Amino acid sequence: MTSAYLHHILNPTLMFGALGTIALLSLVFKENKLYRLFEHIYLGLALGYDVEITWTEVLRPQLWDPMVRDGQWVWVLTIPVGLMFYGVYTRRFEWMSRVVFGIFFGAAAGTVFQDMCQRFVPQVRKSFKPLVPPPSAPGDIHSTLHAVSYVLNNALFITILVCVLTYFFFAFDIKNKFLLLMARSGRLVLMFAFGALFGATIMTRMALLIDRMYFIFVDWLQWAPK
Amino acid sequence: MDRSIWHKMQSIDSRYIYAALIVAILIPLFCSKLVYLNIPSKPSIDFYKTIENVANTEPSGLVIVDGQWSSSSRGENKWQTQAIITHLMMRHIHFATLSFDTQNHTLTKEIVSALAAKYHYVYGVDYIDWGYRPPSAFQPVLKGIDTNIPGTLLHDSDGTPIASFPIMKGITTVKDISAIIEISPTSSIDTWLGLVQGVNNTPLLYAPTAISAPKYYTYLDSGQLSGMLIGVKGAGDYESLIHQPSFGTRATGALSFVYALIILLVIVGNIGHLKLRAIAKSEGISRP
Repeated sequence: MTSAYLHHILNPTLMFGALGTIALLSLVFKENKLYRLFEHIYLGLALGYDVEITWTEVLRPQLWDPMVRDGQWVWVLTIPVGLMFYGVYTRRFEWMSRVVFGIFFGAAAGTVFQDMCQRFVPQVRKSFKPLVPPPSAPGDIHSTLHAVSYVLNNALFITILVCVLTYFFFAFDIKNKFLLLMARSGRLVLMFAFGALFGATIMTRMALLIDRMYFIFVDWLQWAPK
Repeated sequence: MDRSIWHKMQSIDSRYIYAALIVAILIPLFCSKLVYLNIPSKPSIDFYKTIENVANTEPSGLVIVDGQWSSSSRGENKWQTQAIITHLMMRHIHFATLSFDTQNHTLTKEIVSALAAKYHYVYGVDYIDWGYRPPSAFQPVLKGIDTNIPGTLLHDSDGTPIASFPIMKGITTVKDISAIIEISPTSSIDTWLGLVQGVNNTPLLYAPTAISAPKYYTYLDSGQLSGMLIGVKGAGDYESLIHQPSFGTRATGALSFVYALIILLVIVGNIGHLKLRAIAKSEGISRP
């Protein structure tokens, strides 16, 4: 083992990172004290980091410096407004919190309304898909194939959309056999969707594990090639 | 008939499964010369084409790269960020980074600084760091940049007024932005869709973790999203599209091994279950 390699793997930052990774992953084999220790270290670090960033990146440049350095003391008025939120904890000053909450709720409701309209109206509009293919492009030698796939895709989309919507008719008892079949089909395709969701969940979990293995075996130990 | 083997097939000790999982991951890491068939998916190709389109039609346009990921989703979002920034720099597209997560600002800055040195990107001329804004300011910031970017963001991460940088010349509202890229494990894309893309019709690209991706396929279908990089597979796709293989490519190979292992375990468990059921049926027992 060369001294350069030893110097690398004994680098405190890398070694602490690797030890933390191994300690946190050790939970899958057995609950242990090393895991608990690093769990608390991780939580403490994350919280401390958040506090530091909130001060250096938000409160100091946007509130403290304008007041103290630039003399914009009007910003001091934001402090009592912020303190009004805490009125919720006393009966005497409860009305103060209602004032600021009311303003925030109003602003948030207006924003959410715009947000919902802009997101879902295009979805509804695009769900009206034509079953008649558009005129084929000039020179398209597979025009028939393209037209058939266009119609099939749209027909499949509309069928699934209607079946899934039928499944969500909970307000009344469905007795019609055809509607029951549609609702059951809707439930079936929902199961396909949940299966895809589960597959994607596995991908995320495994990607995180692969990244940690890469860190230990490639970045730290350098056993595997870069 | 001995039932123990069929029972064991359904209840393998989880520690053996974890060990097998780690071996499945390590094979592609150690055998980096293994060639993986990585076929980019359509959302990844659309993502790539949108960036290429910006490079070809608006070479001096500005792209916003908004990061909301932290170390907890580094395994996917870091490699997506690296591949995307690499592509932007390869095509010499100007971009601005923005963070709404305390850790993200530092993590993105590290990636951008390393790549900027490689591609000779100059701060303030080719790229700019709009800095960190608290998550609670997410909606107000998006509402603000719709109509006034310099007036909403004011300063870059070092406290310099953003309007003073050459890169910001002619950039006043979102209408002056060529594309928006959101890299996030959360549903923050909803707000971009509702408050920015829906109003201005700016091309919006999304790089989520794989777990968040299925929810947003509908937005691809409706054309509200112009492309999507799905988890680490998306990062691998993008690396192959820009011919810069890195972690994403190797991780995609490792994922294939992991999926093969999971499918094998599902088959083993089901064989055990079906065999026990057949034995129970032959012995006239209702439950194995």
